[in-house]
Amino acid sequence: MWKLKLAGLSETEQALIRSIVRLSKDLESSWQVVDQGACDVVLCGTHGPAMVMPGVLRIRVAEPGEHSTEHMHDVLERPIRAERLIRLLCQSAAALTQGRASSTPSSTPSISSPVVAETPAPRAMHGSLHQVASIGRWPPQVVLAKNREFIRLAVVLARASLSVTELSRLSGVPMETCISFLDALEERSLVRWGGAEDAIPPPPSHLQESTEHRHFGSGLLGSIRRALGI
Amino acid sequence: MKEYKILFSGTPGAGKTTAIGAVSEIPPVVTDVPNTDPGYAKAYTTVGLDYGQLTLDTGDCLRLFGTPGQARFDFLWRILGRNALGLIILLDNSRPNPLADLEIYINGFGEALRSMPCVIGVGRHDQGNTALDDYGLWLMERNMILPVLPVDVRRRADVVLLIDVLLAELEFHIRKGECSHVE
Repeated sequence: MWKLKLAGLSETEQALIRSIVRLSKDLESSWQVVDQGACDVVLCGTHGPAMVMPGVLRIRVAEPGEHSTEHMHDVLERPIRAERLIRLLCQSAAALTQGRASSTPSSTPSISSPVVAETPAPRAMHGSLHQVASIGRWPPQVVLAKNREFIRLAVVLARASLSVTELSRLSGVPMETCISFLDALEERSLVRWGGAEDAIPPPPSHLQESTEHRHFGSGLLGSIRRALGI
Repeated sequence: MKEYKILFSGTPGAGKTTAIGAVSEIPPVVTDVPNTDPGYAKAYTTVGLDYGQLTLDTGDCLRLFGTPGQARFDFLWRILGRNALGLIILLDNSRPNPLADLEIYINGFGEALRSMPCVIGVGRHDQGNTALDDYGLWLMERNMILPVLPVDVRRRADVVLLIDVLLAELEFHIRKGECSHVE
């Protein structure tokens, strides 16, 4: 069973999509609309997540004419029509099946062409994974909620503009959590996106490799954390 | 043996002495005297500095210094701030204008904050008229992003979290090669 998550859509649209998925006899495979947890496809409106987990498909719900024609395959045009939604879900299921069969960890399935090994990731996901994020203020408490990993991510992002990959690497926080954090910021319009040229340069290699710095970083900070029982 | 230090500063009555006592392995050394300043509702206040310490498993020592909170002691803040690993500013949200209090410490440590990691802990955050998020907005208006966290200094876990965040900042400073203040 494939799992579909809805994000940034009105209650009316959500109810409509749930009904279509539940009642349609034309879906070639079984689908379930989920509110939480992992999913295979995210169907998102204007205020939906800017990015999704690797391996998850993202379909954008857009106004007529809002999208460029070359990416029609990733777009569900308003008003939402059952036959169009069903066709996209069938294409998604085919792409996901092919993607998992190829079992390439870094590959991302594409709706438009289900032969994953030969096709690039959908533009939205590919772009957002390579875009750099930055914040202009310390995130509100409703986002942080005393979540240590989110606080750590905020500390790192407060100091630099980073892609989600770099954010994960520098913070030591799993990519999935980084994306959840960025989504939470995105929902409140608290994250700015820029091109790769806006990213901070990586630390100079002599600092990364310096024994003194490495010792200081892992030695002192680690020993302080141990002394505090962290 | 190497020595490192973390500085606790902030409003009188915000709990610097208590915070140090929450994590120090020794009873904090205090220099409190009876408070004669009606602006702060506390019986005793620190006039010199508070001190606590942690012995690290490397044999090194982490010293925890608490500054006197009154602005007239700002010369002491700068002296104590030299070569500190980082600064924790503790504020009391129940005071009449905690953002004005924050401004005192941001200005007082001004230059040092360019290179020294800093975390702001807000006590009694459920009291007063200032929302916790107002601190972040206030800092944003000054082009600053500093971690702002609610804290109850009587709870060791809260104080540890402040230090942990400070260490996370320091870690990133190190990765970027910005730890020149550390000898």
